[in-house]
Amino acid sequence: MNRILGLMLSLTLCMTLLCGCQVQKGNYLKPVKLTESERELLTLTNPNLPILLDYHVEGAKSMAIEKMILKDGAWVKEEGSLFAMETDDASKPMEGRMALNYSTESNSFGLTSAAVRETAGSLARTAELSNHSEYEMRSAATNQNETTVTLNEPVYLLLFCADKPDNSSDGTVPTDPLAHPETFTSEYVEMITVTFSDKPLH
Amino acid sequence: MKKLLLSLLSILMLIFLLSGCTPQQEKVGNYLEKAELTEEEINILKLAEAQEPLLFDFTVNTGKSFTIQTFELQDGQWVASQGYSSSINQDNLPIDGRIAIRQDEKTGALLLIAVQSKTGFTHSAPMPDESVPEYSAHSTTSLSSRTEIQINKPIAFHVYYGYSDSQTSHTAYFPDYALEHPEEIDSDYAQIVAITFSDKPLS
Repeated sequence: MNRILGLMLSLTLCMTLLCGCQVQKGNYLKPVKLTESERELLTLTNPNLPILLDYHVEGAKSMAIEKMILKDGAWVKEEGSLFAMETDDASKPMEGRMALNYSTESNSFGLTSAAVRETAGSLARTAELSNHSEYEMRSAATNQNETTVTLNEPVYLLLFCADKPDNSSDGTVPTDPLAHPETFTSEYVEMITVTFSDKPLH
Repeated sequence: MKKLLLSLLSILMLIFLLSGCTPQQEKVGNYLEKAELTEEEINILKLAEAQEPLLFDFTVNTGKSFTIQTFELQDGQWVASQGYSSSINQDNLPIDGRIAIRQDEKTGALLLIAVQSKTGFTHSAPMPDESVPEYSAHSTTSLSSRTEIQINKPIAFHVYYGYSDSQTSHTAYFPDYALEHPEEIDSDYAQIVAITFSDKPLS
């Protein structure tokens, strides 16, 4: 009887300890699992729910959110970054949470703002980004998958496609749009990416 | 030994069971109050929103409609300007809801009125009037305590005071006092946001 009780006690202890712990290894970027009340709150305050992603990258000294445009079947990075930050202590992983607000309205098409909070607590935010689109058909797609981060390689966050009404685009987004630019048929395609780098910002 | 183990097991199982339970605050009566958010909710809102909205919770078990309306101070009187109305489905009573408003800090213009209720979310983004003046200084006050909802009586829950001169000191009255005593307001511009629950359906 003592043994059974001891076993049950150990099991209960293990369950209690494990239920609060979710060990995640490696470098990753993954969508935040919102609670119902958090989701309701964000839906109330913003009809377009922002993308929220948690990140954890070892060995990174900087990160940059950038824009790429599809030109002649290849991704071309725009000069400069929409947002960039670096860490003083590369011995610690870069980790935190980012929020990306976006819109498909003609007067604010694309990424409208980005904010990053490091686990250490600091919060940085872009100014409101303004983009005008003259295309009548506009759509957005977001990366909803947990993604492994490789240093110095961009990771897809958001995609914006735009067309004139007479252009028929099926709107399909491949799992890895960075590797398959040929799949897009829209007249205008823009991608927002994040790159974690082992080099500091210039 | 057996008793000790049994007691420990019982306590641990109880903790384990209770850890997943958040006690629901009892919501009775008719009232409006400032929304209380958890630390996690505040953090996620600060991250996602460049300008944090003002949030108010209400519980109501009577009424057929409600109106959220702004009033501007003109010649010492509150004059209704813009509003948002919604009918209350009697089958949904009582209703626990949440109101979010966002305001332009320079002009006081409302940029967002959003309501969450049992039926879902409604968002109203009034068209900004570009001719309204910007103020060099402003102050705001909001509902500070739980206020009982009385049918057909407006409850002021937020006031914006705009000042052309940022040097002079002014008094920013709380919404309920400002609604009752517009003659005491000395700002260059004042706008109050109020909600009225009505026993009349929307026409």
